Amino acid sequence: MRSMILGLAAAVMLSACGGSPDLLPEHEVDLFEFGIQSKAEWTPTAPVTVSNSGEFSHTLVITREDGGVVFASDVIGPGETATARLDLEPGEYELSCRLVAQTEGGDLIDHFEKGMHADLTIIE
Amino acid sequence: MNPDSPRPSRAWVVALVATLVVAAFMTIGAVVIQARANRPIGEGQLFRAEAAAAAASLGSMPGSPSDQLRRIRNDLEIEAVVRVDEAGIITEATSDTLVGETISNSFLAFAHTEQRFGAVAVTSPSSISIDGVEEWPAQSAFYAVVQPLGDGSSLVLYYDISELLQRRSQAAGVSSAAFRLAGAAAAFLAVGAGLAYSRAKSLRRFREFEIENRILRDHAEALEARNRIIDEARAEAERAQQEAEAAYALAEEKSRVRAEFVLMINHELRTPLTAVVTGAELLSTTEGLTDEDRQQITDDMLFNGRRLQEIISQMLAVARMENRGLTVSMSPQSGGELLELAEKAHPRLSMGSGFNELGGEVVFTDRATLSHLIGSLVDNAYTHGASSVTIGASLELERLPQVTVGDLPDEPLYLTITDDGPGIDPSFLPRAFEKYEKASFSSGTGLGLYAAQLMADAIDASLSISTSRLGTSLIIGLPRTGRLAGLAL
Repeated sequence: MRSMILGLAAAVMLSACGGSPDLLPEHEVDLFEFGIQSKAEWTPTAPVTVSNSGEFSHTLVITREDGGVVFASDVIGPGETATARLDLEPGEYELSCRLVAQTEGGDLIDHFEKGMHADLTIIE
Repeated sequence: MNPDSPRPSRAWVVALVATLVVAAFMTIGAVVIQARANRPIGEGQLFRAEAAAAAASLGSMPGSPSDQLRRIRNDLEIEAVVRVDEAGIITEATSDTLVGETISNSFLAFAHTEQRFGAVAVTSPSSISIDGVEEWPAQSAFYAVVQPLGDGSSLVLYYDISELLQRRSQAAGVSSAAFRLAGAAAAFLAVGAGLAYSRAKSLRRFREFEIENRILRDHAEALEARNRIIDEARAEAERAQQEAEAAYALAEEKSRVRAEFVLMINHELRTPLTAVVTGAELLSTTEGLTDEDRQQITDDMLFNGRRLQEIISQMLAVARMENRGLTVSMSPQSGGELLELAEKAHPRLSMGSGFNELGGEVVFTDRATLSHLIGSLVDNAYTHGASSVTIGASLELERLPQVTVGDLPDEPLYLTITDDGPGIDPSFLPRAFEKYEKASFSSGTGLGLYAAQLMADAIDASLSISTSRLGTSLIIGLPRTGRLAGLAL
């Protein structure tokens, strides 16, 4: 299936290494090995700050229940922070890291499988 | 047929337990399988397998390098495939607009440089067109997969994240293995439920059977009770019939006895009377009789006259005893007094043994009645063919008598009157003391022994008969203790 509609419902402003000063973050997401820390409920329109407190690079992807992607960050390196302003429809979503690395020994480290996913509800 | 007992059979219990255990294990297995199926799974394994296969196929594919990449893209149904040289610049791509671009994503660049497999979500900085048609706007999200080719270059495969996750979401659901296992568990549970149902049905049938059984039992008991009442009524009726028959037989017997008595009176009275009348006629009408003839006729007349007198006297005595009873005066009598009484009782009675051995024994009796009784019995013996009669006394009997009337005293003294007559027919013995009863060939009145019984009864004595062809013994059992002048001692 070639057609694809990205559910980016809002303009995404992303910057690495520090956020934009005119956006006051209301929601915070922390990425680490291997988990995602965040409030379970967000308001629909909210500035989001995503920080990586881990030692590996991570990403933050927000998907609907049917798997449709509504937000995908670029790689966020260790210690880096990214900000975004989202306008999401109320409903159930999932926060996750979509990064798969291979060790020198050849083993796969699938961040999602390791536990980097969390449920999110956008309330009215 | 008696249904199963309420106690379940061992086989049934084993079958039920085994079925439930298997069903439980299958259910647990299905839950475990489903839980594992529901476990979040990343895409790493899928990416690595597909990327490795794509890299391996490159050498054997016909066509230009860009054709090869398109074929990989089409085979994997992904969005784009590019080849990156050692410097990180895209040299071949399924979209020409990408050629010459540099890998900017830090993780992709790292993986490519390190020549390690890796995958990461990326967003396109600008829109992407294929054959002049914009397929993806800027900021579109992809999964970029780096597959080192071993010569410093790498293949990068671009997956549409939404499509990938949506496909996975649709594929998710109940695991087929879990579904099959749950189905098998349900089948086993159904078997268990069937077993339990059949058992419950059997139990219900058993209870119904018990109720029917109880009703039948109650009916049987009621029938039995009714039969018992019928049996008792029947027995009562039979008893009444027997009593009626006995009463009828008694009445018939009395009628017979009365008829015989009339015949006997007719015979016994008329015969001697005829002899007397005939003798008187002979004496008065016959001439030329010798003195001897006259004497003979006179003797016969005298004998028959006395015979008549005796019969009438006996009948009167019985009638008197029956109507008025006997007045007795009981008093103690010693052995000597008894001997004296016996000697005077009848002139033709001989004294036998025993009187002298009585010592100080005393009996209680009425002397006149006892004397009369002894005399009657002696008369009776001579009437029935005896030529001699003897009386003896004893405290014991040599042999048991064949018939006894009256209550034998507790401590009797026996007076035994023995004759040498022809004896009594044994078949007559049971009737010997009945009124008017006599043996068919006997010449008596049938009152002798009856009268004797009345007298014995009046003095509290028993009367017994012991008879054989050599003679008959009539035994009087006298009480050694008893009433004296109407007072109990």
